[in-house]
Amino acid sequence: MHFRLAKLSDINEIVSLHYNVRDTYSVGFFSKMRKSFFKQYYKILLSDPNEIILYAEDSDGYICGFASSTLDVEAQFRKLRKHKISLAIAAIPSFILNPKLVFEAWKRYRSTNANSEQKFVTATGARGEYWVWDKNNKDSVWSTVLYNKSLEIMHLLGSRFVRFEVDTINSRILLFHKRNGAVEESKIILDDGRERILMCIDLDKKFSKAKIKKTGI
Amino acid sequence: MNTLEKYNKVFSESLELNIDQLSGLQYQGTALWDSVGHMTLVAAIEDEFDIMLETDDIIDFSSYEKGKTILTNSYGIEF
Repeated sequence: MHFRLAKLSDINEIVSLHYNVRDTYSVGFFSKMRKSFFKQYYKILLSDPNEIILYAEDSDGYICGFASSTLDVEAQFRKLRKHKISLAIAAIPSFILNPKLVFEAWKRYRSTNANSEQKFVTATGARGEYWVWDKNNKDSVWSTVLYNKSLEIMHLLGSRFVRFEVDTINSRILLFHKRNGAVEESKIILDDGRERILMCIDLDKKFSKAKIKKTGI
Repeated sequence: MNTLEKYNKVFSESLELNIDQLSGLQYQGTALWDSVGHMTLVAAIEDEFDIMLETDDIIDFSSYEKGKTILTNSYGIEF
Protein backbone atom coordinates (compact mmCIF):
# COMPACT_ATOMS: atom_id res chain seq x y z
CA MET A 1 0.00 0.00 0.00
CA HIS A 2 1.29 3.46 -0.73
CA PHE A 3 -0.06 6.98 -0.54
CA ARG A 4 -0.06 9.80 -3.03
CA LEU A 5 -1.77 13.10 -3.58
CA ALA A 6 -4.77 12.96 -5.87
CA LYS A 7 -4.74 14.76 -9.20
CA LEU A 8 -7.53 15.77 -11.51
CA SER A 9 -6.88 12.58 -13.47
CA ASP A 10 -8.06 10.62 -10.40
CA ILE A 11 -11.48 12.23 -10.38
CA ASN A 12 -13.43 9.16 -11.52
CA GLU A 13 -11.99 7.01 -8.74
CA ILE A 14 -12.68 9.67 -6.11
CA VAL A 15 -16.23 10.09 -7.32
CA SER A 16 -16.82 6.35 -7.29
CA LEU A 17 -15.46 5.90 -3.78
CA HIS A 18 -17.42 8.80 -2.36
CA TYR A 19 -20.59 7.86 -4.22
CA ASN A 20 -20.44 4.31 -2.87
CA VAL A 21 -20.37 5.50 0.71
CA ARG A 22 -24.17 5.40 0.53
CA ASP A 23 -23.96 1.59 0.59
CA THR A 24 -22.95 1.79 4.24
CA TYR A 25 -24.05 5.30 5.26
CA SER A 26 -27.17 6.43 3.51
CA VAL A 27 -28.10 9.61 5.35
CA GLY A 28 -27.26 13.19 4.53
CA PHE A 29 -27.19 15.42 1.48
CA PHE A 30 -24.28 13.79 -0.34
CA SER A 31 -25.82 10.34 -0.09
CA LYS A 32 -28.73 11.58 -2.20
CA MET A 33 -26.76 13.28 -4.95
CA ARG A 34 -25.98 11.66 -8.28
CA LYS A 35 -22.53 11.14 -9.75
CA SER A 36 -22.67 14.19 -12.03
CA PHE A 37 -22.78 16.43 -8.96
CA PHE A 38 -19.86 14.64 -7.30
CA LYS A 39 -17.83 14.97 -10.46
CA GLN A 40 -18.31 18.72 -10.68
CA TYR A 41 -17.77 19.14 -6.94
CA TYR A 42 -14.44 17.30 -7.04
CA LYS A 43 -13.42 19.03 -10.24
CA ILE A 44 -13.68 22.30 -8.34
CA LEU A 45 -11.93 20.98 -5.23
CA LEU A 46 -9.08 19.41 -7.16
CA SER A 47 -8.37 22.76 -8.78
CA ASP A 48 -8.29 24.48 -5.38
CA PRO A 49 -4.70 25.06 -4.23
CA ASN A 50 -5.73 24.62 -0.60
CA GLU A 51 -7.28 21.22 -1.14
CA ILE A 52 -5.38 18.10 -0.09
CA ILE A 53 -6.70 14.72 -1.11
CA LEU A 54 -4.51 11.85 -0.05
CA TYR A 55 -5.00 8.54 -1.77
CA ALA A 56 -4.23 5.01 -0.64
CA GLU A 57 -3.30 2.84 -3.60
CA ASP A 58 -2.46 -0.86 -3.50
CA SER A 59 0.32 -2.58 -5.43
CA ASP A 60 -2.03 -3.18 -8.38
CA GLY A 61 -2.77 0.53 -8.67
CA TYR A 62 -6.23 0.08 -7.20
CA ILE A 63 -7.50 3.06 -5.19
CA CYS A 64 -8.61 1.80 -1.79
CA GLY A 65 -9.53 5.02 -0.04
CA PHE A 66 -8.88 8.70 0.38
CA ALA A 67 -8.84 11.41 3.01
CA SER A 68 -9.65 14.94 1.92
CA SER A 69 -9.09 18.20 3.70
CA THR A 70 -8.62 21.88 3.05
CA LEU A 71 -6.10 24.28 4.50
CA ASP A 72 -8.63 27.11 4.23
CA VAL A 73 -12.32 26.33 4.30
CA GLU A 74 -13.35 29.97 3.84
CA ALA A 75 -11.41 30.14 0.56
CA GLN A 76 -12.98 26.84 -0.43
CA PHE A 77 -16.48 28.16 0.24
CA ARG A 78 -15.73 31.24 -1.86
CA LYS A 79 -14.56 28.98 -4.66
CA LEU A 80 -17.66 26.78 -4.44
CA ARG A 81 -19.90 29.86 -4.46
CA LYS A 82 -18.07 31.14 -7.55
CA HIS A 83 -18.94 27.89 -9.30
CA LYS A 84 -22.54 27.76 -8.12
CA ILE A 85 -23.96 27.68 -11.64
CA SER A 86 -21.90 24.70 -12.77
CA LEU A 87 -22.69 22.93 -9.50
CA ALA A 88 -26.41 23.63 -9.94
CA ILE A 89 -26.34 22.29 -13.49
CA ALA A 90 -24.48 19.18 -12.35
CA ALA A 91 -27.10 18.70 -9.66
CA ILE A 92 -30.06 18.73 -12.07
CA PRO A 93 -30.26 14.91 -12.43
CA SER A 94 -30.35 14.65 -8.62
CA PHE A 95 -33.06 17.34 -8.42
CA ILE A 96 -35.19 15.59 -11.05
CA LEU A 97 -35.09 12.34 -9.10
CA ASN A 98 -35.65 14.07 -5.76
CA PRO A 99 -37.02 17.63 -6.02
CA LYS A 100 -36.69 18.17 -2.26
CA LEU A 101 -32.96 18.33 -2.81
CA VAL A 102 -33.33 21.76 -4.40
CA PHE A 103 -34.18 23.19 -1.01
CA GLU A 104 -31.41 21.20 0.66
CA ALA A 105 -28.88 22.46 -1.87
CA TRP A 106 -30.10 26.03 -1.46
CA LYS A 107 -29.65 25.84 2.32
CA ARG A 108 -26.14 24.51 1.91
CA TYR A 109 -25.31 27.19 -0.62
CA ARG A 110 -26.51 29.87 1.80
CA SER A 111 -24.48 28.31 4.63
CA THR A 112 -21.26 28.91 2.69
CA ASN A 113 -21.80 32.65 3.08
CA ALA A 114 -19.45 33.96 5.75
CA ASN A 115 -22.35 35.77 7.46
CA SER A 116 -24.73 32.83 7.47
CA GLU A 117 -25.99 31.73 10.86
CA GLN A 118 -26.84 28.22 9.70
CA LYS A 119 -23.79 26.00 9.51
CA PHE A 120 -23.53 22.37 8.50
CA VAL A 121 -19.79 22.14 8.80
CA THR A 122 -16.80 23.96 10.21
CA ALA A 123 -16.57 27.34 8.52
CA THR A 124 -13.13 28.70 9.43
CA GLY A 125 -9.53 27.58 9.18
CA ALA A 126 -8.32 24.15 8.16
CA ARG A 127 -11.00 21.51 7.83
CA GLY A 128 -10.93 17.74 7.59
CA GLU A 129 -13.55 16.74 5.03
CA TYR A 130 -14.07 13.16 3.95
CA TRP A 131 -12.39 9.97 4.97
CA VAL A 132 -13.49 7.15 2.72
CA TRP A 133 -12.41 3.53 2.45
CA ASP A 134 -13.65 0.96 -0.04
CA LYS A 135 -15.82 -1.42 1.97
CA ASN A 136 -14.72 -4.33 -0.22
CA ASN A 137 -11.05 -3.78 0.44
CA LYS A 138 -9.61 -6.19 3.00
CA ASP A 139 -6.70 -3.97 4.00
CA SER A 140 -8.91 -1.52 5.86
CA VAL A 141 -6.42 -1.35 8.71
CA TRP A 142 -4.54 1.03 6.41
CA SER A 143 -7.37 3.52 6.68
CA THR A 144 -6.03 4.67 10.06
CA VAL A 145 -2.62 5.23 8.61
CA LEU A 146 -4.14 7.10 5.69
CA TYR A 147 -6.07 9.40 8.00
CA ASN A 148 -3.15 10.21 10.25
CA LYS A 149 -0.87 10.75 7.24
CA SER A 150 -3.31 13.33 5.93
CA LEU A 151 -3.18 15.08 9.31
CA GLU A 152 0.60 14.95 9.22
CA ILE A 153 0.59 16.64 5.82
CA MET A 154 -1.74 19.35 7.13
CA HIS A 155 0.66 19.86 10.02
CA LEU A 156 3.70 20.02 7.76
CA LEU A 157 1.92 22.62 5.66
CA GLY A 158 1.38 24.84 8.66
CA SER A 159 -2.04 23.95 10.07
CA ARG A 160 -2.01 23.70 13.81
CA PHE A 161 -5.70 23.15 14.37
CA VAL A 162 -7.88 21.06 12.07
CA ARG A 163 -11.61 21.10 12.56
CA PHE A 164 -14.09 18.56 11.28
CA GLU A 165 -17.51 17.11 11.98
CA VAL A 166 -18.74 13.71 13.12
CA ASP A 167 -22.38 12.72 13.40
CA THR A 168 -23.08 11.05 16.73
CA ILE A 169 -24.73 8.19 14.85
CA ASN A 170 -21.14 7.21 13.95
CA SER A 171 -20.41 6.47 17.57
CA ARG A 172 -17.32 4.35 16.96
CA ILE A 173 -15.79 6.92 14.62
CA LEU A 174 -16.52 9.58 17.24
CA LEU A 175 -14.73 7.47 19.85
CA PHE A 176 -11.76 7.03 17.53
CA HIS A 177 -11.41 10.78 17.01
CA LYS A 178 -11.54 11.38 20.75
CA ARG A 179 -8.87 8.75 21.33
CA ASN A 180 -6.87 10.27 18.48
CA GLY A 181 -6.71 13.55 20.36
CA ALA A 182 -9.63 15.54 18.98
CA VAL A 183 -11.92 17.45 21.32
CA GLU A 184 -15.55 18.46 20.99
CA GLU A 185 -16.03 22.18 20.36
CA SER A 186 -19.75 22.43 19.76
CA LYS A 187 -22.80 20.55 18.67
CA ILE A 188 -25.43 21.24 16.03
CA ILE A 189 -28.70 19.54 15.27
CA LEU A 190 -29.34 19.11 11.56
CA ASP A 191 -32.75 19.51 10.00
CA ASP A 192 -33.16 15.75 9.72
CA GLY A 193 -32.56 15.41 13.45
CA ARG A 194 -29.00 14.20 13.27
CA GLU A 195 -26.74 15.39 16.04
CA ARG A 196 -23.41 16.60 14.69
CA ILE A 197 -20.32 17.23 16.78
CA LEU A 198 -17.85 19.87 15.62
CA MET A 199 -14.42 18.68 16.67
CA CYS A 200 -10.92 20.10 16.68
CA ILE A 201 -7.54 18.42 16.81
CA ASP A 202 -4.38 20.21 17.86
CA LEU A 203 -1.72 18.90 15.48
CA ASP A 204 1.17 20.39 17.46
CA LYS A 205 0.05 18.22 20.34
CA LYS A 206 -0.70 15.21 18.15
CA PHE A 207 2.70 15.26 16.49
CA SER A 208 4.62 16.54 19.46
CA LYS A 209 8.36 16.04 19.20
CA ALA A 210 8.33 15.15 22.88
CA LYS A 211 6.54 11.88 22.12
CA ILE A 212 8.60 8.73 22.13
CA LYS A 213 9.38 7.70 18.58
CA LYS A 214 10.60 4.34 17.37
CA THR A 215 13.96 3.68 18.95
CA GLY A 216 15.39 1.51 16.19
CA ILE A 217 16.53 -1.09 18.73
CA MET B 1 -0.55 1.07 37.73
CA ASN B 2 2.31 -0.82 36.06
CA THR B 3 2.93 -1.03 32.30
CA LEU B 4 1.09 -4.30 31.81
CA GLU B 5 -1.92 -3.04 33.74
CA LYS B 6 -2.00 0.10 31.57
CA TYR B 7 -1.71 -1.99 28.41
CA ASN B 8 -4.49 -4.31 29.54
CA LYS B 9 -6.69 -1.39 30.50
CA VAL B 10 -6.33 0.19 27.06
CA PHE B 11 -7.11 -3.10 25.36
CA SER B 12 -10.07 -3.98 27.53
CA GLU B 13 -11.61 -0.49 27.33
CA SER B 14 -11.08 -0.09 23.59
CA LEU B 15 -12.37 -3.53 22.67
CA GLU B 16 -14.87 -3.87 25.52
CA LEU B 17 -13.39 -7.11 26.79
CA ASN B 18 -12.46 -8.45 30.21
CA ILE B 19 -8.77 -8.73 31.06
CA ASP B 20 -8.99 -12.53 31.05
CA GLN B 21 -10.10 -12.44 27.40
CA LEU B 22 -6.99 -10.66 26.15
CA SER B 23 -4.39 -13.42 26.08
CA GLY B 24 -4.12 -14.86 22.56
CA LEU B 25 -6.42 -12.22 21.13
CA GLN B 26 -5.82 -11.44 17.47
CA TYR B 27 -6.93 -8.72 15.06
CA GLN B 28 -10.49 -9.47 13.95
CA GLY B 29 -10.71 -12.07 16.69
CA THR B 30 -13.48 -10.17 18.44
CA ALA B 31 -16.35 -8.06 17.15
CA LEU B 32 -14.88 -4.68 18.04
CA TRP B 33 -11.35 -5.37 16.79
CA ASP B 34 -12.10 -4.53 13.19
CA SER B 35 -10.45 -1.70 11.28
CA VAL B 36 -12.34 0.98 13.24
CA GLY B 37 -11.49 -0.77 16.50
CA HIS B 38 -7.87 -1.02 15.42
CA MET B 39 -7.71 2.74 14.82
CA THR B 40 -9.20 3.39 18.23
CA LEU B 41 -6.88 0.91 19.91
CA VAL B 42 -3.78 2.37 18.25
CA ALA B 43 -4.82 5.91 19.16
CA ALA B 44 -5.48 4.86 22.76
CA ILE B 45 -2.10 3.11 23.05
CA GLU B 46 -0.33 6.16 21.62
CA ASP B 47 -2.13 8.34 24.11
CA GLU B 48 -1.55 6.08 27.10
CA PHE B 49 2.18 5.58 26.47
CA ASP B 50 2.81 8.97 24.86
CA ILE B 51 4.33 7.41 21.77
CA MET B 52 3.93 7.69 18.01
CA LEU B 53 3.60 4.31 16.35
CA GLU B 54 5.27 3.98 12.98
CA THR B 55 3.20 2.84 10.03
CA ASP B 56 4.84 -0.59 9.90
CA ASP B 57 4.09 -1.11 13.58
CA ILE B 58 0.44 -0.11 13.19
CA ILE B 59 0.05 -2.67 10.44
CA ASP B 60 2.06 -5.36 12.28
CA PHE B 61 0.07 -4.85 15.49
CA SER B 62 -1.92 -7.99 14.80
CA SER B 63 -2.41 -9.45 18.24
CA TYR B 64 -2.35 -8.67 21.95
CA GLU B 65 1.04 -10.39 22.31
CA LYS B 66 2.49 -8.86 19.13
CA GLY B 67 1.59 -5.42 20.45
CA LYS B 68 3.65 -5.99 23.58
CA THR B 69 6.61 -7.14 21.49
CA ILE B 70 6.37 -4.04 19.30
CA LEU B 71 6.16 -1.69 22.26
CA THR B 72 9.14 -3.35 23.94
CA ASN B 73 11.40 -3.81 20.92
CA SER B 74 10.71 -0.56 19.12
CA TYR B 75 9.70 1.92 21.80
CA GLY B 76 11.61 0.70 24.83
CA ILE B 77 8.50 -0.01 26.89
CA GLU B 78 9.20 -2.86 29.27
CA PHE B 79 6.45 -5.16 30.54
